Amino acid sequence: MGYKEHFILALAATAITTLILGIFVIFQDRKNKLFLAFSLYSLSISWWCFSQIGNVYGPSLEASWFWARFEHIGVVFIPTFFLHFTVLLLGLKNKGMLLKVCYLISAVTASTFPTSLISPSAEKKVNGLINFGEPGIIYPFILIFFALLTVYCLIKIFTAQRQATGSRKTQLGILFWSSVIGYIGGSFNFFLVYDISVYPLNPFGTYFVALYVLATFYAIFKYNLLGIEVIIKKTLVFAGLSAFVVGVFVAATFITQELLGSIIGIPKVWTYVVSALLIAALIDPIKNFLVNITNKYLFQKKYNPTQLIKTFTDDVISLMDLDRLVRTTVTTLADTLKLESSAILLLNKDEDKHVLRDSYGVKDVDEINLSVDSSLAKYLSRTGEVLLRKEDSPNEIKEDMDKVNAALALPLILHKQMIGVITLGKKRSDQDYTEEDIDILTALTKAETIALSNARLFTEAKQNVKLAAIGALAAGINHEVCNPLNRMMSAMQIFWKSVDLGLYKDKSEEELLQMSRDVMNDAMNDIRKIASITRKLSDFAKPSRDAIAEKINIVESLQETLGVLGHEIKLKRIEFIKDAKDPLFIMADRDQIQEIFFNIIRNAIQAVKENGKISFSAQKKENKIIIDITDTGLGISKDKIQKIYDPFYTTKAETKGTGLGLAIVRQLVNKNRGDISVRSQIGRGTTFTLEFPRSD
Amino acid sequence: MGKKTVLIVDDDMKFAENLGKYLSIVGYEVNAVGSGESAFKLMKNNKPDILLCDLKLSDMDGDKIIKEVKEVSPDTALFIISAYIDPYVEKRFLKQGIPFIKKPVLFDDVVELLKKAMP
Repeated sequence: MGYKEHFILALAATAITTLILGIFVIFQDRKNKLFLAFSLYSLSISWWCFSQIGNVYGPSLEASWFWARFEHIGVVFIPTFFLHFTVLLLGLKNKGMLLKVCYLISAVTASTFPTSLISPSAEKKVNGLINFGEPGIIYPFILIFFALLTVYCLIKIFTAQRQATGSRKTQLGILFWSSVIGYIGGSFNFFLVYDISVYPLNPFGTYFVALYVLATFYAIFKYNLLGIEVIIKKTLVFAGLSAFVVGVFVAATFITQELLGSIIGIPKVWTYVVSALLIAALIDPIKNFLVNITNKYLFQKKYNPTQLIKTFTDDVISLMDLDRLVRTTVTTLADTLKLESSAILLLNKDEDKHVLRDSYGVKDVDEINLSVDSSLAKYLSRTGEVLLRKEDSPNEIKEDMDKVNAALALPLILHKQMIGVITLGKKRSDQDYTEEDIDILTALTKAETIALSNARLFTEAKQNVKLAAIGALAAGINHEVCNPLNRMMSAMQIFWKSVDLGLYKDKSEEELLQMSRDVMNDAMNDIRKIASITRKLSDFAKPSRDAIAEKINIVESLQETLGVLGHEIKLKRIEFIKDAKDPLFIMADRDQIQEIFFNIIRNAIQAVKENGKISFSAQKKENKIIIDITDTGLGISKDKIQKIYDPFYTTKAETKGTGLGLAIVRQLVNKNRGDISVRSQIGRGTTFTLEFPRSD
Repeated sequence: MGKKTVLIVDDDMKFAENLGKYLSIVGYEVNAVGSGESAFKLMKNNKPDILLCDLKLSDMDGDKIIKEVKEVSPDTALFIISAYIDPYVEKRFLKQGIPFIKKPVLFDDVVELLKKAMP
């Protein structure tokens, strides 16, 4: 391929790509001025390229001369459209006059095309390899106009790029550099007029212009340069599907006609049937495949806003536990929006600070807090609105946001008070937060605030329940301690008063000694009772240590328990039936499980008369182990059954039980992630049922 | 008129006995029972002058007893002896004019109270 062929190829490539780009952009939104400006810019380049093909190719010098002039209609508008595009893209103010002047110049210049002002003739250039127009009188002027405006626009873009942040910065960067390269490559075409050919920039430099087009496409898709929500997905998918349909049809035809048709004669109708069937069968899977591919490779991986809202409402907002709520909030936001970091700070009224409650991806966690008096807090509190960190934000606000690693700050406002703030870091893709992001997040923060308020109330309610329980406990304690004390005191008082009143005058020393011994013995029993109750109470009130879970075999635990209680069981001639397949594993605290079994079985022993029965059965059921401990004892009446777990509830005679056993058992069962329930019938017996998650 | 009669109702029998013994020494005629039911049975025939009663009996609460006694034997002087400490409860009884004696009790204090109420 010669010089001319290369040149025409480069021009054609560029002409087509800029044409497609121009049409594509304007189709996205016909009313958008920015799109229109860019489109015209692109189309004018296309005009230039198409026309230049005619210029270069000819085939006659006369034709070349026509195309040379025609070409410049496009050429003079390129810088003007570029200027208009730049003004709109960067939001430059007060350029109305400048634009009007430029348009005027372009229009006037273009209108000279029938004359020889632009170009008087065409000549053979580059050693006769191509035709090209000769420069006319106003040609240098066109060059200057082109150069000045282009440089002006490029400078403006460069400056804006320096000042920009985030994805905007990248967008403008791509635009700038690809434009520079495109212009450099393309501008060598101008030198051909003076018969200056610089190899390899002539003719290959024109390809740079095509390259610029591709870069712009990339910037559009990846960095959302023109903010286009691409409908191209559908176009590409449609194109792909069409190709598929055609392909199937062709393949089917080929196979049935050419291959099989030569062996057996098959009427054409069968080709159509086979094609139709194949298409019908495969069209949906192919469509899904194409949609997935285009999503994966072409598009900014956008999160699905509906998904975020759903996840938030399902998983986050319903949490009553404050710790879990804050944890799930930060992780859900960071995961769904693909953020580098996220954090939630809650107001600590005593310190007048918003203190970090939980975070994701944040370093220096200890440093993070936000004073109520800080500019950021004051601003958020005052406006109640989401705040995006921008280059033109006030410095104090920027500093405050940097301290908490925030690109976005979401205030949590409840009853007109700011109870906290959620801070979100940058997106991992380095893209900016869009309007849509902010709208969704604003709604989610409102929901989050309500959830936080609920969690707080729930915690308080739990405290109140605890306090009520403590109140009940305190009353019980008092009873269990005061009565023995009272008893002791009464015994001592009556003894001494009797002595003082001379009632024991006639008793011998031995008798008196014995009487005082009795008093003291009784007192010691009472003291032991009190000691035991206080110990049990401290066990109960400051409950058992946290369960240290290990994989244990409950059949083994039962054996251990029976080792201690077996004697009593034998003594009372109780029949103990075990129905459990060894081994049965659960994750639980070994000692605590034994204590649970011990308490329940001992209760059973005490409930059952001589020759009664106690049975222990354990079964696997789905993902749990169900344990039933049944006794044939007296049973518990319906009205009393509610109370059995109450601390101090006991039907045993005062010396025999404290009434704390089952209360402690229930606590231990809960600690080991289990459940306890009871069924009973008066006269028939009682069954305690325990459930624990399996561990095998 | 003879000795004043005292009925002690407390499910701690040892304590009831000892207090009863002391009150007899001091000059009262004492009976001690361990449950509300037994108390009412007794009171049907013999209305005591004084009733010393615990709040938390095995078969009923002090409030029920007080109500019943007031109906059955309105002239009996009522005293509560209890381990139960709840300032509201105490106030409630004091408002009704029923003295509240806290356990553990000092016998001499009880005697003083009784003398004051029924000289």
